[in-house]
Formats: sequence, C-alpha cells, structure tokens
Amino acid sequence: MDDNIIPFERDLFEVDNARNLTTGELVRTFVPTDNFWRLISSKNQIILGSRGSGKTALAKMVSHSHLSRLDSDYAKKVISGQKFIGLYVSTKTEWVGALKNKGWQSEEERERFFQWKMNISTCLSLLVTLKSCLKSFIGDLEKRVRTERQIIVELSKLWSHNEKTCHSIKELEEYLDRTGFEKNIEIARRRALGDESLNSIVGIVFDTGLFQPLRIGIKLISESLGLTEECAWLLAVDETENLDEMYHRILNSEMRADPGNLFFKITTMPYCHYTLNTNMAVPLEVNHDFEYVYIDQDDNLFSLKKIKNHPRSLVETIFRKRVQASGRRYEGITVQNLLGQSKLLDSQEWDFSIDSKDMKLLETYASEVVKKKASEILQRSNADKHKEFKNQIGRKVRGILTLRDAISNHRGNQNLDIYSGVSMAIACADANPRRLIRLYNKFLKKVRIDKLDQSLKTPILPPHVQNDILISFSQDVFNRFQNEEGLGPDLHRFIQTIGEYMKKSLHENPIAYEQISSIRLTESSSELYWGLVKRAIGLGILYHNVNMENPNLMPEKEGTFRLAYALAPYFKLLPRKGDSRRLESIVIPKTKKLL
Amino acid sequence: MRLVNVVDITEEEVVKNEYNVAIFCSGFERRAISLAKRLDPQKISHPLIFGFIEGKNEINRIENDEFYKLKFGLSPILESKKSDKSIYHQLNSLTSKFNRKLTLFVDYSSMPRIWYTAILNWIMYQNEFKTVTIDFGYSLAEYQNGLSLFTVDDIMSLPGFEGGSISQMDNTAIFGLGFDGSAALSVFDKLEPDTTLAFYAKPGKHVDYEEKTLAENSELIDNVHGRTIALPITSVETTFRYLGELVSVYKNNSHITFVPMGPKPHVLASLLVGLRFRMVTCLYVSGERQKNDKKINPSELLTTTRVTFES
Repeated sequence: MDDNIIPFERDLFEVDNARNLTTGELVRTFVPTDNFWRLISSKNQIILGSRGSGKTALAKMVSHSHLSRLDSDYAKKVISGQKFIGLYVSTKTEWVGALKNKGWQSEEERERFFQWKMNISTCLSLLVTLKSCLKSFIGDLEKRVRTERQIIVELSKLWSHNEKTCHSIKELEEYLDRTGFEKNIEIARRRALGDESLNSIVGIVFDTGLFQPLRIGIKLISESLGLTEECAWLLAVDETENLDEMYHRILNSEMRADPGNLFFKITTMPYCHYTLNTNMAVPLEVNHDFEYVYIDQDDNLFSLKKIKNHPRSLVETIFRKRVQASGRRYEGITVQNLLGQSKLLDSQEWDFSIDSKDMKLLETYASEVVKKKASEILQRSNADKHKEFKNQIGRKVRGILTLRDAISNHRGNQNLDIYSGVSMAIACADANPRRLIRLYNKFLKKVRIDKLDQSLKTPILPPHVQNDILISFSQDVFNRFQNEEGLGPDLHRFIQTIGEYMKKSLHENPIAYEQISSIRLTESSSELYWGLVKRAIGLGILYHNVNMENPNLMPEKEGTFRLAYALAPYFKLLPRKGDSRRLESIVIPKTKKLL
Repeated sequence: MRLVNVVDITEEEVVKNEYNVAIFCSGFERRAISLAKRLDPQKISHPLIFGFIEGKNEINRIENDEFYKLKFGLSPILESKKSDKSIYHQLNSLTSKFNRKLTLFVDYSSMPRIWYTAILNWIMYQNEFKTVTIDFGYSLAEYQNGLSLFTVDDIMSLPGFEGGSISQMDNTAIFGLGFDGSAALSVFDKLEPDTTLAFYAKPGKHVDYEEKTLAENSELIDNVHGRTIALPITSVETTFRYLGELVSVYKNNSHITFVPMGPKPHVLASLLVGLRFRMVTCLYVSGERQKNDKKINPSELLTTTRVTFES
C-alpha cells in the first residue's frame, strides 16, 4: 500500500455508480480506456452503453473539473494546452420529470420549455467548468479572484437581462438555481389560476435559441482567459434515454448545424437514440455529422490480460484503485487471491485415463455425436491425438460437463461451489463496470478482514460462498428489471422463457459441443419481439454477438443476441457464448403490451 | 398563500363543521362514499363531485355515482385520473362566491394524487383569501385479496412540486414505502440517489401490513442510509413534522426528492412538506395494476387532518 496515497473516508466498493462518487473519488478510481480518449476530440459523438456500462463516468470525466485532476500525462497535456474544455449536464429523471408533467402544453410550448431548461442547466454547468479553468490557468490567487469577479459581473448581467449583478460564481449559481425554481412556480401559478400562456418574464434570456446563452458565456470566458479559437468546448449531455423523441430531434438539429467551437458528447442506451431527424429538412448523417461510440462488451473488461502500456489488467486495476482509495481495510487483497481459480472456466488438463472423472463425465452426459468423435480421435495413432482432442472437444465441453454434473448431483443441503473464481466473476459482470464493482463489494463484505491469515491463502473467500453470492447476484439482476417503465412484466416473462429453454436444453438433453445461450432474430421476426430485445439490450440483459462474421455493433432486428452472462448462475448456464436458436422456435407466451 | 399549520382533528370536528366547498371523488372502490355518508349536505355550500372518466361503467362505480346524486343532487364531473384541468376550472369558477375566509373539505380516500395536488396548488396561488382551512379526510382500506402487481408507466414530478430540479447538488431521495416493492426499486434504480432515506406506515392498519411493507421493500431498504423510519398512518401531523425535520437536516447540502409510494396520508404529508420547503421535488410514479382490485373495503378507521393557509 502506497503511504503517499490518502484514502477516502468511505469504502468505495459500496459506491457502484459514478453518479454518486465525488469528483475526487471518481477521478482517483477512473481507468481511462481508448473509448474515453476518443471523446476528447472536436467531434459530435453519441455514446451508447447499457445501464451500468460506465457512460456517466465517461461523460463526467470529459468535464474540465474532472479531467484536470486525472493523473495522466495526456490529460495534463490536454488541460495545459487549452485545446479542449469540457462541461457536463445530465437529463436525469428529476430533470425530465418537470418536462413530463405539463401534458396540457402544445408541442411548441413543450419545445420552448425544454430549450429554456436546457439553456439554464448548461449555463450552470459552465460555471462549474469556469471555476475549474480559473484554478488551472491562473496560479496567482489574487488575479484569479479578480478575473472571476470580472467574468461573473458580465455574465450575470447578460444572463439576467441586466436585472442582477453577481460578483462570484457561487452567487451566480444561486441566482440560476433560484430562477429555475421560480420558472416552475410561475408555470404552476398560471395553470392554477387558469392562465396557461407561456409568456413568461422569469429567465427571459433563456427563452432563446438552444445553447445561445451558453455560447455567449463561452465567448466571454474565452476572451477573458485568452483562449484561442482552436479551443474546442465539449458539452457532455448525460442520460438522454430519458428524453422523448422530440427532444432528441432538437439536439440532433444542434449537431447538424455548424458547430462553431461547441461539440456534443451525448450518452444514451443502445437503441435509445430515438431518431436521426432534425428540425431542418435534412436528417443527421452518421459518421458525417456525428459518430456512435459503443462502449459495451469492452474486451478489456472480460479478461485478465494486461492492458496496453499498463502493468496489469483493467479488472485488476479497477479493484486495486478502489482498494487503495478505501484505505488499509483491504491491504494485501487482490482479485486473484480473493477468488482463486474457476473450475468451469479456467483450463485444466484433461485426464485421459479410462476411469478418470473427465472420461466418465463424457460418457454420462455427452451426446452420441460427441462421444463418437471423441472415440475416433483417441483411437488414432498419431502423437498429437490428445492435443487434437483438447482443441476439438475437451476445451469446448469440459466446463459444460462439469456444470451439468454438479447440478445433477446437487442435493438440498449441500454447498454448491461451481460458480466461483476470478474468471467466473469477471464473466458474470458482462464487462459492465457497475456490475463488477457490485460483485467486488459483495465478495469483500463476506471477508472477515480482522481474521485474515497473514499468508493470505488463495482463495480467501471459499468457493461455496462465492457461489452463493453469484447466484444471489444473478437472481437480483433477473428480478430487478421486471418493473421497468412500460413493459417490465412482458420483458421479464420473455427472458424467463428464453432462460428456462436454455437451462432445459443444457441439463435435460445430451450435451453437444456447445450450450444454447443465444437467440436469433430475422427480418421476419415480429416487431413485438424486436422491441423487447432492444429494451433488453439497453438494460444489459441481452447483448448482440459481435464477431468477424457479424461486425455490426448495432444490428437492426436481424442478428444473434446472447443472454447476459450475469444471468448464467440463475439459469444454471455457463457464462460463455454458445449456439443460437431462432427465437420463434422457442415458445413465447403471448405478451399483452406492445412497445 | 403560505402553509401555516397541519394538525390532526377528530371525525366529530369534521362532521359538525360547515364548509364552503366539499370535494369528493367517485370511483369503483366502496370506500369512495364512506366519508360522504357521514356528512350533512346542509353544512356544505358547494359540493363538488369528481368522477374518473376511466371505469365509469363499472357496477360499483355506477352505484357510487347514484349515491352522490341522491345525497347532493349532483352527478360527477368527469375527469381523467391523469389530468387536473377540471379541478382548477371548477374551483376558479367558485372563487367569487366566497368571502375572505374559505373552508374546504376534501375526501381523498379514492382520489388520484394529481387531483389533490391541484387543490393544494390552487390554494397556494390565491390572492383573494385571508385564510384557507382545508380538512382532509381519508378512509383506511381493507385489502381482502391483497393488491395486484403495479407496473410503472412513467415517473414525473407532480405539477407545482418540481422543486429545484436543475440543481447540480447531490441528491437525497426519501421513499415512502408501500406494498409495491419492485416498483419502488425500479424508481430507485432510475434515480440513483446519493443518499436514500425511507419511511413506512407503523402503526398501519394491521401488523400484517407493516410486515408486508418491509418484506416487499427489503432490497430497497438495504440501500437506506440509517434506519427505515416508522410513521403512523393515522397522523398526518406527526408524519409532516418528522419529514420536515428530516428535510431540514439534508436541505443545505443536497437536493431532496420525495418518492411517496405508500398510503395516501403519507403522500399528503410529503406534499405538505413540499409546500413548506419549496425547493423539494415530489415525484409521481404513474402506472397500472394488472387488474382492478375491487375488493377494497372501507374500514372504520379514518385519518382526518386540518391544514391552514394564510396570506
């Protein structure tokens, strides 16, 4: 443990959501990947990622207040070079809630109010960035305070239509907060008294074109700080899956227009960029007006391989950073010594002796086709036959056979230990940072820190305890989405049916080379099913199978989609890609609600 | 106007009081007429009966409508459970008929919260009155067959209770817990609050209901900071006071969002706290039950509350 690193007071394994981390906590625990560095660019980008995939962390880290604190040579270069300055705003549930409750408004009124709200919110965000820029660019405290005052006096006059003069960032923040609140009150008053016109005087400056007050603010700040014209301002707009299609159209219009020096980094869930239309005659053009950045299924989060120019893997780094930031509680604990090897996923030598467990499993559970192939290979006289067997059969079926056997022989009171090991935990996290941290937290909670053996025998956490945690975690993932807005119960039934089919196929039929763990949709598949699949992808319950033959990151209906590995323990499957079945060949009960 | 006082009162006080306006809601629940039965029409100058557009042909509903017609000589004014337009329209049309001290009675037993939120909003923005006293009545329910699964449709702020929703501060969510644990959990997942607090009804109607609430919400409760607070279902005054103290503790460092998903007296208390602390957001989780739970009977227990506003 590095004595120079000052830990945070709280246990950061208990905070699995970037939204709830302080700036310092997020910066200290953030692991920048290639996807992150792509965002530091003069491009409009839409970041697609399922829930918990790290979108908010990425969006926040783009902001100057976070990036300026990242311990990275490149980040330092970006900040000191003043080429990119980021700001962050979120269209979170409470924010959107104030848009949705005005059902009486016309479309025009709704657009105007959205623009008003977005304008004032982005101006608030600009103030956060201004504070950070002043700290980064002006070392002398007295000069910094003078510059702040000078900028704020001008900004407050501009944004208040000369009604209010503020002298500090804090004062202007409070004024904007108050204005936002008063606008809601004014609307409520007019509605209550029967005057529903939106001709309002509150925050009149924000009742202009979208982002105009922000651009004015950026211009003023740039001039005051001596920033060059090359400086690109990056506006990260987070959680836009909460917005209606109409608001996406408005944001698209901004991306279609000449950006000037303002570029957008918009986060949303897969298939939740609801339209390419704009308010102009021409829709957005992908890879011209903007590009998609897809962050799910990052290979680095599936593996224990070291990442480029780094001493360890990404999953180990995430663990290590949190350990360091949480103080000496977990000193000496690594992912490996905590969880150990996986019986199901880590390769082990196949025992070819006739009465070995491996051969008996093959005999007991494998299909005739597999047994025949096995026999054929082993009867060959070439020296490589064992290697051929391992490559063609052993590597594929070993895990499945072991799983099948463990479940078949499991009796009520016995401890199952099959879902355990580092590889298993990483797989079940589905390359989803939130799930990974949640799992780490669950594991660490079960460790008796005060009773740790000095030698830290591996695994610290017994496999049967890991197994219980993973099954409970998997059940939680499965139960959690059944009340999703709109079609939770339908989606729940849908996934239950698919999962039960796969479970039955693995545990009741002779074992072929692969388990069935994916579904296949075609052009003729119903829109109802496609709607459910899209929603499942957004929630990280299904993922599309991306490979050399299917490189399309976001297929439109036709494609193969695997069940989340997080659901593998619940449905007693192996967390591994397997074979697929046409969705229609799996019996799906009628669902009542259409998307 | 400003909120001045919230006190529990007795049923006797309600029955003997005279009201300028009394507002009732006709629906399919049997308790929709329970309070109206106890009141004397002679003591009410202007009764207002609202009825849901939805389900207006259900048998229980027709019977309830008939009751109101007989009692007050009025058929219900139809309004959607998702709209508050006619609430405002009717109240605004009566404004000139009242003197400077206005007294209202509201039976919110079967009333959607959009409607009684509208009543509160209407009062808050009046300039015509020196005082407004509103007595709220709620008939506690007996759920014979329990409640069917509640499916979330949407999450929005209650109109007039958006609070400071553009704030960049940390977020504290205060959940009022009911029987719909999985719905509450889905809201929790969407809000992702920095701090989570929760309260539930205890004593409730039955000890069973208390235990059921805790069991249904066990996953959410795992995320609660500190203990889950028990507050009586029959005292809006106590609940209001306690929740107000809670808000006072957190409001300077955090934006506060109420998510009241429990019994209506707790929803009312949350809204009243929202009137006292205007930067607080009150969310409304709209949705549907898988089937209409018709076997909801009134019990003898009432919760009656007097809320006073002054200009």
